[in-house]
Amino acid sequence: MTEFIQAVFSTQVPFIRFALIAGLVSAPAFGVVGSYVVVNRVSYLAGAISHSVLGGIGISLYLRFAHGTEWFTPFWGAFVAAMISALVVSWASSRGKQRTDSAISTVWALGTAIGVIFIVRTPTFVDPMAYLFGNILLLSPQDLWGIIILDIVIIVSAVFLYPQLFAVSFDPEFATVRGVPVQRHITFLLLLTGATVVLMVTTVGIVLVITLLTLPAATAGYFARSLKGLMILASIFSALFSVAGIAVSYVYDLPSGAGIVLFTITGYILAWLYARVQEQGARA
Amino acid sequence: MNAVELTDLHFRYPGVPVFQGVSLAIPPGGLTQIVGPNGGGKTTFARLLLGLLKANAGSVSVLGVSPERAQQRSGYVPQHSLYDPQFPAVVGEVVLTGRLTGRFGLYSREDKAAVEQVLDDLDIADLRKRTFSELSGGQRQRVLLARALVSRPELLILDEPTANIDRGSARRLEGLVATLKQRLDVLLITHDFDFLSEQVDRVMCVNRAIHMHKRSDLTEDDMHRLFSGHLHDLGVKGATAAGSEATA
Repeated sequence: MTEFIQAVFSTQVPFIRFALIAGLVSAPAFGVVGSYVVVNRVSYLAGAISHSVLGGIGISLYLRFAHGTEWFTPFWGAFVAAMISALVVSWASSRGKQRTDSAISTVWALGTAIGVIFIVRTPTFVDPMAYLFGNILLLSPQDLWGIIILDIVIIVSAVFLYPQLFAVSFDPEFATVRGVPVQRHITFLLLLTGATVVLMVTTVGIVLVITLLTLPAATAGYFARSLKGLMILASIFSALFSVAGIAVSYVYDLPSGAGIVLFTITGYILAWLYARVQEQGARA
Repeated sequence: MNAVELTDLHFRYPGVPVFQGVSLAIPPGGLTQIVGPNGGGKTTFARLLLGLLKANAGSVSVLGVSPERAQQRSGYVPQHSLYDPQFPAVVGEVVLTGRLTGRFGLYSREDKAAVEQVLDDLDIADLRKRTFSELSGGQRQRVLLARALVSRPELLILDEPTANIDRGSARRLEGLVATLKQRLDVLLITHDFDFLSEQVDRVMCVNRAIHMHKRSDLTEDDMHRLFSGHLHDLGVKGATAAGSEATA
C-alpha cells in the first residue's frame, strides 16, 4: 500500500495520478447517470452503448497510425461512437420491444466488429486487451481534460433536468400528461449514459465499464430512500471502488478495470448481505 | 362548455377496433361513473381524453379544446399498483411532478408551497418524507390524488381508485371525491358498485359502443345489471358480457 501512496506522489509515474483523478472526477457522473440507468432498468441499453465504443476506438487508432490524424484520439473516437449508438438505441427503444431487442444486439455486435477490424488493420501492434479491460497507461493528460469537461457537462445537465428525468423515470405516462416530452428525455438520458461510459473506458475497459455504471447505484439502492440519496451514495461508492481498484491493480500489476470491478462486486455483495441481515432482524 | 365531447370517434389498436363512430357529450359538473366489462374500452377512453392515445378518425374535445391542449387542465390518477416497488421515490417528490409543465427548469417556491397545501388538504402532510413504495394502497392512492390535484385541474380522471385498497381507505377516498365533484368535473372508472353510489350523477357504459344514462333514470336493478356486465338488458347495442382484452 505504501508503494501505491509513494507512486501517487511520485513525479516518475504520473499515470497513476491521472487514473486516480479520472476515477474521482468521474464518480459523480457515474453515480448520477448510473442511478437513472438503474431505476429505469436500462442496463442492457447501456451495455450495447459501451460495447459499440470499441468501433470508435478502432477507427481512431487506424486513422492515427495509417493517416497520422493526431487530434482524433481514442477518447474522442469512443465519444463519437457512444453518441451515435445512443441515438440508434433510443430510436429503436421507441419502436416497440421486439425491435429494441434486435437493434440492441446489432449495435452491441457491430461496434465490436468494426473495432476489431480496424484494430487488426492498424499498421502497428495495438493490444485490444487494453481497451477491453482497461489500461491506465493509455490515459493522456489531454484525455484527462476531456474527462473533466465531459464530466462537468454531464453533471450540470443531469442536475438541471432532474425534475423532468425523475418524472419520466417514475411514471412516463403521467409525465406525458404533464407535457414533458418523454422520448426526448429518454434519448437525452441515453446520450448522457454514452458520455459517462466514455469517461472511464480507458481506465476500466469496454467490457467492464457497465459494471461501474450500474453496480454502485444498485449497491446504494439497498440504503437510499430517495433518488437524490441514491445518486449521492452511488457517487461515493463509485469513488471508493475506483480508488481501491486502481490501488490494488497497481500494487499487483493487474489490469485496472479488473481490479475496480472486483471491488465493485464485493461492495454489492456486502450490501446485499447487510440488507438480508437487516431483513432477518426486522422479522425476528 | 361540455367537459368532454366526442364526435364520430374511431379508434383501433393494430387489428383490434375499439370505437367505431362514437359521439357523445358529458355536460360540465358532477360525477360521471364509467363502467363496462374488461376490454370494453374504459381505459382506452380515458387515455384518449388525456391525449395519451390519438383517435384514428373523428374528434375528441376536452374542456372545449383538443386533449393535448387540455392536458395542463386535467388531473389523472392511475392505478397505484402499477409502480415499480424498488423505485426510491419520496412522497413530496412524487407530488411535485404534478407541477411540471412542458417547460424546463427546477421547481419554484410556489410549486413547493402548492405541494404542502395539497398534502394538508388531503390530510397526508405526515407522509411527505415517506417512501412511496412503503405506503399502503390507500395511502398511495391519496398521494396520487394529491399529485393530480396539485396543478388545480378542472377535470379529474380516476382509474379504478378502489382496486387493491382496504374498505376504510375507500370510504375516506369517497369523502374526498364527493367534495371534489362540487368544484370540478370528475370521471370515475370503476368496478366497485358501492363506491360513491350516492354521489353519481351519470353513468357511462363503455363496451365498444358508449352509452350515457342519467343516474336518476336508472333503477337499482339496472345498476346491478350494468356492473355485472349484462349491458344488453338495458338495450345497449353490441354489448357482451366480457369482450377480449383490447389494451394491447
